[in-house]
Amino acid sequence: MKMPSPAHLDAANRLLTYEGGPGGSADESAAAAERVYEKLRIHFVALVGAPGFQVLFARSASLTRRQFTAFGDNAAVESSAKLRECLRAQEPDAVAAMAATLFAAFLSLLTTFIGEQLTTEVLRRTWPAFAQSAPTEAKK
Amino acid sequence: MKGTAIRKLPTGVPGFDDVLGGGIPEFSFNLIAGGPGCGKTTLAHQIMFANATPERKALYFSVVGEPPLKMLRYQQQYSFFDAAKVSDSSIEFVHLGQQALDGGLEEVLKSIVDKVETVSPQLVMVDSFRAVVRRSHDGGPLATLQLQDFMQRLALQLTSYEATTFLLGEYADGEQDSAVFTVADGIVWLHQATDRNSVVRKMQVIKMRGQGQIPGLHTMRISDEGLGVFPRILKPEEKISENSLVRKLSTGVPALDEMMDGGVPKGYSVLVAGPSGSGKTVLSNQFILEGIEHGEPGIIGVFEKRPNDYLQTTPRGREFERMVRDKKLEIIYLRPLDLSIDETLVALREAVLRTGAKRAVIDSLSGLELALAPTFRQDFRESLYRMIGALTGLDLTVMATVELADSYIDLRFSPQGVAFLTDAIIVQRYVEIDSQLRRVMGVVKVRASQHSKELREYEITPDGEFAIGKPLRGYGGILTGAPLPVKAEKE
Repeated sequence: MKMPSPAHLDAANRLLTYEGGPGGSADESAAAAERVYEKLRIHFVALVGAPGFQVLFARSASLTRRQFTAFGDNAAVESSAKLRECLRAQEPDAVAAMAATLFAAFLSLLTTFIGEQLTTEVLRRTWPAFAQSAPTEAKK
Repeated sequence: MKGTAIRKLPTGVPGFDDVLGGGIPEFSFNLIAGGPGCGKTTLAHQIMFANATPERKALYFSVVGEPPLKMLRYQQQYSFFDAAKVSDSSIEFVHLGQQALDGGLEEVLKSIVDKVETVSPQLVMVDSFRAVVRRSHDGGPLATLQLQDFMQRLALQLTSYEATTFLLGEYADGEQDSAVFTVADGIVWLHQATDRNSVVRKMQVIKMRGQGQIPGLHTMRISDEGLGVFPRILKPEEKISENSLVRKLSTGVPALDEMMDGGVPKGYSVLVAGPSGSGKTVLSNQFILEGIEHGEPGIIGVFEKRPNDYLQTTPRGREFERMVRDKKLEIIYLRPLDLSIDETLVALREAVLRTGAKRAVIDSLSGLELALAPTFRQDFRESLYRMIGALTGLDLTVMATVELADSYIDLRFSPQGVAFLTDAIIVQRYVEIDSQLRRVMGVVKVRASQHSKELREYEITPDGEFAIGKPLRGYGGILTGAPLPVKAEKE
């Protein structure tokens, strides 16, 4: 897979914004990422199953490492708490960008597998504010 | 005293409700069985998407089979897939792979019951329960008892929660599994029949408690819309209706009407048999045009040319184009080479309902036979019998053309021996007279009518008219193709 598209990166940044980051401190960004992960887990595990969710996040972590070599191994995305710990251990300047890249990769993979429409529908139900903003990809 | 009325759920699968006898009985416990790739998962999804709502949810349990991530990817290729029903949790996917690995049947049953209790769904799908069974049992007698016990508990639990349930299981054709088959209220079996290079999908409702289904194997097709079933329509019961002979329809060729003792009796099937280029299509065109001009819409089933090609090459194409635009005529093109008669019939019947057609042309039976899957060609006569019965049962008067190889050593009316199925036969032939190729035709049969026995010359005019001339008198051996003048007998 190529790196996430600008549209997915934009969507990921918006999810982090809804949860209080980025823009704040590295700690605040890591906490926002933890909350985003947790909400994604609740809604997407119901849809694609826990193993499916884990596989997609492991692949997203792997893609994130291409850009941020310091990003932790796949164990860092096994839970929201581990992700937060992983991000807190990073250079403060890189935390927000790393988190955005990770979630953008996840959204991109989801779109590949279950489609733009279904991915966007679930995101809108999880973050109602997402409904008012542009979809992650250009409308067909 | 009136018994309990059982509500029937629509399946959302075209034709399947008819086969089932109205739909799926509510709160029933059903099995969808068949080999890999036969459409079990797609059928279950189609039923689920047709019925699930936020108030009446559906749960889809996958056990060891396809994980939800891949299932969602593939199932959303079908038009029945509605992402909104997944995102608003009208439909929930639950993967029980880990439970099956850890605790086998017991753990799976517990997880299903817990989830059903929480969600109170109206529909429950378990795909593929056989994988759990194989994982948990070695197939011995004790295993059979345990499986039966599991099935009965599952059926009871889900029925008590007022859920309509479908188990999806991989079964080889003809495989017996009494532990499951006894408990199930309904069994739907999906097959893939291979014959030479063609594969035909078929469906059979082996059992559906409490209602009468259409027996037999029904053809099925999977397209972008999902599954479609083409019920094996049995010939409708003969009913005493208006005497066909009271009303005769003009063929559009006055001389032919005269030869047929006044025209084609309403509701009759007419076979027009002749060699290539003899004017069968021209005659059938005239039959359709005559009907439309007198307020009787028509349909034409073509199996050799696409509708555009047909309109461009047929002599009355321009008039037909206008009539198609005015919705007085519909041209149906069916040529997939793996057709069944039932699929053909469904297409024709839908066109009849759309147009209110009173006349139908099948052009030609030879093309239709080629379009059928090899497995159905073997039963062509039986298929045709059902088709003609079903079409005339729709109050249609039917004209079918058939290609005859030029043979001057025998007199045959159809290569498949199907002529006896029709009520009337018109035969066309080429003959050589004075080094000229000329056309002759005759009416061989019109049931219960005093039709002409003459062989008459005919022409196709430059305007595409079928023009019948005088009887070909003074010749003998016309049907041999090379008639000889008969010398006048000396008085």
